[in-house]
Amino acid sequence: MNFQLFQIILVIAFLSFVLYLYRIKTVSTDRIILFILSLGGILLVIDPNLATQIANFVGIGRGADLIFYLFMIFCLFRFAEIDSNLRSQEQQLTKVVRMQALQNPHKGSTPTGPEREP
Amino acid sequence: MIDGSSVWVVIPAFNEGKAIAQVLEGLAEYPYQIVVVDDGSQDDIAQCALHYPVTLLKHVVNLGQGAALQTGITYALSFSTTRYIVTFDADGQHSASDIPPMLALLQSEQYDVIIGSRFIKGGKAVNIGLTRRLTLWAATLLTRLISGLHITDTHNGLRVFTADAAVKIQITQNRMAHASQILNRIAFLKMRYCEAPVSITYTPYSRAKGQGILNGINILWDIFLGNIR
Repeated sequence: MNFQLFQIILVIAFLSFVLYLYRIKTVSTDRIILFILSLGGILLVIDPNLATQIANFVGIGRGADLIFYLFMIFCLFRFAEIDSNLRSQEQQLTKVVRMQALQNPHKGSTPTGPEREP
Repeated sequence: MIDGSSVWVVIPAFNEGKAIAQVLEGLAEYPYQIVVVDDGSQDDIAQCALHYPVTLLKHVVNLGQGAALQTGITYALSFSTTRYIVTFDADGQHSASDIPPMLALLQSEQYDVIIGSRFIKGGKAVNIGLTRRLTLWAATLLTRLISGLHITDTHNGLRVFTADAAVKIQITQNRMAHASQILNRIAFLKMRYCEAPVSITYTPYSRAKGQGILNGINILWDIFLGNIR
């Protein structure tokens, strides 16, 4: 089996992804990572052989497979980033809706009891 | 005796126009203050609720039960006279007569929060279906593992907090994961808690509104992602 190096790399990448989500993630680290990944993408387009060379080095075989794996990692980060943005927007929406509700309390009928409408 | 005006019952409600009158009718026998939080409902719940001596707060859009609870709790805590906060479901499953014994437990000042349980001695789950029982069993097992609390009914909407405890809880899970979040906060803040028997009456209406197994997966998802920045 020639696959070990890249398997180890992928597992480490995934573990650091989880660690990243819960510990290090900020808007700027997100952007730095996306920038590095994009730069890597451009490099691979400029020199297609580079992908095959790196792939061979880490034991994947084909460059196209390496690009596919990198794409998956890229997507993971991107999804996490979008999700985190959605959540912070939801928190902001909650604040606004809550404040609006708290400022407009409606009072029900007097404590003498319910009045029925037909 | 507890002064009724120091007790606030918080009722989060979403499209519960059919059930809310009966719920408020049941609570009318008691001297408590009531705040109904209409969580962006599309039905006539607001008109129904305003026939009773309650305060109604309206979310202009639907945010979820957790968000509605927090809005009601924040409102109740804005009064300096508030000493106890009760959370109560709007679908008619709870019985108002379970509240006084829970308040009495808090009044002994041994606890910060009392959690209703349908599964301990004295509690009742009337007409509970097998699926619902199994779902709750799984949810309880999981929540116990996560929070480390020794309780028998983790998804019971009837709870009583002291005002101090309610200030600290701070629900940020807008949807159904708030039930687990409340328990996690109780565990994290090392609050003194105990369970009290309550009776839950299932009706075809409340069964249709309740949480199924599939939504349990949504709840897990929210708990998992809720910790991400």
